[in-house]
Amino acid sequence: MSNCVCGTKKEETKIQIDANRIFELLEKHEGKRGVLVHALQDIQKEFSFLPEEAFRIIAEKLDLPLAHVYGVASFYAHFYFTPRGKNVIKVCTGTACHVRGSKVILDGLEEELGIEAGETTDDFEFTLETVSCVGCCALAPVVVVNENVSKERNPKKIIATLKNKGEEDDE
Amino acid sequence: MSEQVTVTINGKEVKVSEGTLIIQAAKMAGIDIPHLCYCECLPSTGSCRVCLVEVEGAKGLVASCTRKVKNGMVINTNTEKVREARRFVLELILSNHSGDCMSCDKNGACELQKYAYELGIEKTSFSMKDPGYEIDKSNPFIERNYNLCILCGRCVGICKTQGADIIDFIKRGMITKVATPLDKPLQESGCDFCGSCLAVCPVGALLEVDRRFRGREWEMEETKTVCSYCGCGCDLVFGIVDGQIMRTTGESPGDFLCAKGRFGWDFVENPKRIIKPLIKKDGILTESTYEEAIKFAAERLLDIKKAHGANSIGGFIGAGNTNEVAYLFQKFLRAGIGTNNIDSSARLLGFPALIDLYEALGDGAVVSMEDIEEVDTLLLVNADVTVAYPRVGVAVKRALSSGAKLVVVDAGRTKISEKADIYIQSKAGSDEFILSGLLKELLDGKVYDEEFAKKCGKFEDLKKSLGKLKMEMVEKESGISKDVLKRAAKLYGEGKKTVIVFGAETVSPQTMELIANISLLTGKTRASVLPCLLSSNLRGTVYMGALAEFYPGVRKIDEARNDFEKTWGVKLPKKAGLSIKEMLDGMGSSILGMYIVGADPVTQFPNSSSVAKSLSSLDFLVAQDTFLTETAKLADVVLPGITLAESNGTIVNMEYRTKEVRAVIEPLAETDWKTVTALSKRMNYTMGYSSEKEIAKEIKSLVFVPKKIERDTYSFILVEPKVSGEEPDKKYPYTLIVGETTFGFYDGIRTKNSKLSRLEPNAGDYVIFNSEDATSLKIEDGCEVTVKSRRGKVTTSAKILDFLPKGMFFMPSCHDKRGILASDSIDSKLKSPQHRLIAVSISKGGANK
Repeated sequence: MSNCVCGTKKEETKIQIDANRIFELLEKHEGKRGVLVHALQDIQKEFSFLPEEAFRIIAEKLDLPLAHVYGVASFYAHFYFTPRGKNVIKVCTGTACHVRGSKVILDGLEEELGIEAGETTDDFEFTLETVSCVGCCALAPVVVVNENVSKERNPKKIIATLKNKGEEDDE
Repeated sequence: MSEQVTVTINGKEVKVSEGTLIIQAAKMAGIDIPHLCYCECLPSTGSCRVCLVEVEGAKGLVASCTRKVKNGMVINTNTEKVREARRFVLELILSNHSGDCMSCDKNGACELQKYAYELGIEKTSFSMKDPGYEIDKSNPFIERNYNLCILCGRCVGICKTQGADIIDFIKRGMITKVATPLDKPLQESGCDFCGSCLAVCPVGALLEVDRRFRGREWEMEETKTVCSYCGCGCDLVFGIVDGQIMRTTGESPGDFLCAKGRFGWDFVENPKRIIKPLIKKDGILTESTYEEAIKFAAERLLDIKKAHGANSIGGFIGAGNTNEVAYLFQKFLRAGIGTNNIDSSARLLGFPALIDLYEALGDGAVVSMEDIEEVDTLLLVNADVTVAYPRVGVAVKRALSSGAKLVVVDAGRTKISEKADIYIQSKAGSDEFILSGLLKELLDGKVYDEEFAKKCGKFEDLKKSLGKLKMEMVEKESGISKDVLKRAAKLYGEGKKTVIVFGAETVSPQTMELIANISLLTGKTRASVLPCLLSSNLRGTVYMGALAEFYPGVRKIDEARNDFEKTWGVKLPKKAGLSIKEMLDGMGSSILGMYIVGADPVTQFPNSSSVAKSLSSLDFLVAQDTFLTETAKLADVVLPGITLAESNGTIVNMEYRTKEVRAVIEPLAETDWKTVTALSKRMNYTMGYSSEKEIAKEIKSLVFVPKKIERDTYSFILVEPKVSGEEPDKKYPYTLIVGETTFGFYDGIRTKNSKLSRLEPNAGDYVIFNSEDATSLKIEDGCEVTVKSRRGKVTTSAKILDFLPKGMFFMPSCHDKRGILASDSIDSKLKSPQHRLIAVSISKGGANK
């Protein structure tokens, strides 16, 4: 018997998408023109990314060609096509942060999470990304944790704080 | 008429109408402005910036493909400033075009290469970037190499206007790419493979798979002919290198061709073609010489004629042969053998539309495809236009994009019904009720042309009979509420320029008569209907008299016999001929010999098991065909036939246009006309033609060439609506609809012997279930199922798709065994079977269980 678990693992972690929820989110946009980006944003806000099913439903509900919907979505770096983690950590690699050692923080986070920048952990807890500048160079090097600028530079601590917080939330 | 303005281009004065683009004005003056994204058949995007020109007084250079001319404009298209800018733009484009002209099939025909050469660019001065995209070779027809793509957007534009609208730009900046949704392969993205994108691509990014490394454009010899598939009869230009077909394309890049027209020709060169005659010896078909086969066939037919009389022989011809062959065929049977037992596939493919409609409205009522593009309201009845008659589909799409309104009556949810203003999803077989309902609503809603209708015969009778028609019954039979019909009648009746488009092979004679009534009631008798025909030369076959009832020119046999006796110089048979069903019924007793040309009744004709039995009971059967069809397998002599791509002659398409067919390659076997004349000569009737041209000349002197003439008087036809096709009952509770698919065609002989079959799911061996029926019958996608009708049963696989309403199933017409299921009962007047709606029962599993 094969011990390969890749197939089963994928099965376990596959995100379930509730198509009805997509329909609900699109209700207010139906029959209007020029609302595609808003519709995409609403769906991404709900699911953290744009699931495949969503494109077909958007195309149908907004009466747009599917190719156009995907074309627009893929134009913006802001839209994601794969599931993202519960916590999104962005390491600034802008000039000031770079000079002050952001690479060390990024390497540390990559090692700690076992993923590379741009990837998400298998348990969908963390997504690690880089960002080019967040506009607070005086604090460099900075890390943006779930939209909050943080001065914390210790990768272990950053992750531990998020994990603890998660446990607290669960309780 | 818009106003004329004068502009000066490169010192030359030209008068053009206001609103003309500079690039078009220059073309009129004989000046070609280099361009890459601009294409005459598409709206300008102005994205490539290669067509920059200098306009006096304008700020900077302007893109000539987006700027319109103004009176007095002075334009220079080839100054140093312009050339410098163009060079810069081209160098930028070239920096992202990582290909090698040495191995590119577009070498010599590439527009980018041409302009780079003209401007003397040896190498781009920017650093080259190789996008490193994988070349998509996953489908059998279109090779996509986006490393060569210059992002001009022509393919995106043409896919929107005449394709399936499945590609667009994705991502942005340096990684922009043309792709399908989620960048999936074409065959998984709903691509129709019309190949329009190929035709407009200025570089080598999109290429015909079959053409790769087989010859450059300048080596190609091009011949224009007509497509051999559906009745649209599109012009095809074949590119030939060393006697082999390299590609097919339209006359100009914007000409639409469908997948079958552009890619479906490879059956012509299929090694399974019959090249040599076969004679059955001890039950086995054995190769023989041409002379021997002709001699043997002629002798046997003569024996039968001698022993049992000429009327013991019959002939059947397909509707895909040229006029010349169809004409010779019936002349051979009538004058050579002496019988009117002649029939053709026309009997099976929309005979009511070919005969009834002509009687009711005349041929002036039939529109051209260009006419369709200009109408404001369309009524589509059982016409899956984008699938079955794709060129008509494009015409309808063009009409819709210029604002036309659309009413669709069809049991199946099709690509075109998605675009309808009112979609009437009828119950299969209820067309007569729906159209009668529409007629009543037109009358009641007073949206008809009273003045004209009063002039037509039987108007009062029509009013009376429609007065008696109960809308409740229409609602019950069709499942459509009368409000929907009322709205549809209003929409159609109020249209200024309307057309009724219908699938000729799907309508019953009564439906046909109702369509004629709608046309008369709305006062539209000129260019108001388009019967979509499935075979390339249905009209021609009828006009050439390849039917029991008519001599060439659709002249009734008893009326025209004297004329033809004079012309042909022989005594002609007086006895009325038999239709194919009647011949089949008489086989083994009154019919003993058959000559079948370019047709496969065993596959095409309904109740095929009984057809095969009848043909086997003949004393002698000669089949002349391109492939060893099921019919040919039963023959005593098989004579090789040729395809339209090897023939010279003419056909008449669905619009009554006579089109010239030219041989694009040397025929692989003896031509059909020569075989017919050889057989005739051996049977002591020498026709003495030396070329197809001579036959054409004779036809021209005899046959009334349709000129689209309107009638002087018209009359309504009273119709009592009933369910068309076979009615379901307790034992056979479902309706099976046989219809066309995108990559299959009619009997499937050509598509199956072409690479097209690779795109047809399971090579056409399936039946479509809707999810509701699938759940109740506990059937999953891909499941083996048995479809049973009163004639027989077929085991096939299930495909689940919500396309038809509950209780209705779909089987592709190219399914090998669909003939087993269909009913062959014929109506008394037209003697044509209604074989596309079949009452069936369906069970899970194979037939043996």
